[in-house]
Amino acid sequence: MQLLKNKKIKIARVEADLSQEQLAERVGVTRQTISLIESGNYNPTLKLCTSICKALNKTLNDLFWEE
Amino acid sequence: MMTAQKLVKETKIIISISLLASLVLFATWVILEATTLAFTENKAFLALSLIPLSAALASYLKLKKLQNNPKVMVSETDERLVAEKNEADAKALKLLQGVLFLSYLGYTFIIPEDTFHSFGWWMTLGILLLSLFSPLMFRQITKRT
Repeated sequence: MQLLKNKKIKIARVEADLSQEQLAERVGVTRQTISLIESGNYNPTLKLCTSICKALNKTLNDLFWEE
Repeated sequence: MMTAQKLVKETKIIISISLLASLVLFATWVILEATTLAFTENKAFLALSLIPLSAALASYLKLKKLQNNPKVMVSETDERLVAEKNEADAKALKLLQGVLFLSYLGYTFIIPEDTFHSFGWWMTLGILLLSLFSPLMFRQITKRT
């Protein structure tokens, strides 16, 4: 199943003034993983989702909840 | 997600086990050479001891690389890459199980007189059963821990 692009993460990351590389470093993954999450080609684990939320100072609802 | 410490610990365990296996095989060769006991070919133990030694050396180099370069550590612990590696390992296991099953089947049908009698036949059966049941066994161990 093709995942939807996660624009919320990209927007939050840009708002936090972080590059994909910097966010990847903060959450302990590679830049490619962040890129794949943003493009909707990788479904992260809950643990990684919470790490991303903490790094971007957002909640799970803000970044990962689809209406 | 695998932590960096866990990865370093696992690599250290692999080094220890490989070195131990290498040492046991080497000691066996020394004992067989020193005594009058004769195995099929004593040199086989010496040759076999080089395999775990090489594995230990490869793991040691990996450990050094991990400790010196944090970026390599990240790529080794990245959950996506770990998941990809696990998937590849699982597919390789399935392939090996298929090959072992065909070997067992082929052996049994081609040389029926060996069935239940020869060491080779029991070995083939044992390895096939091990490959089939060890994933279940390790799943149980993982559940408990």
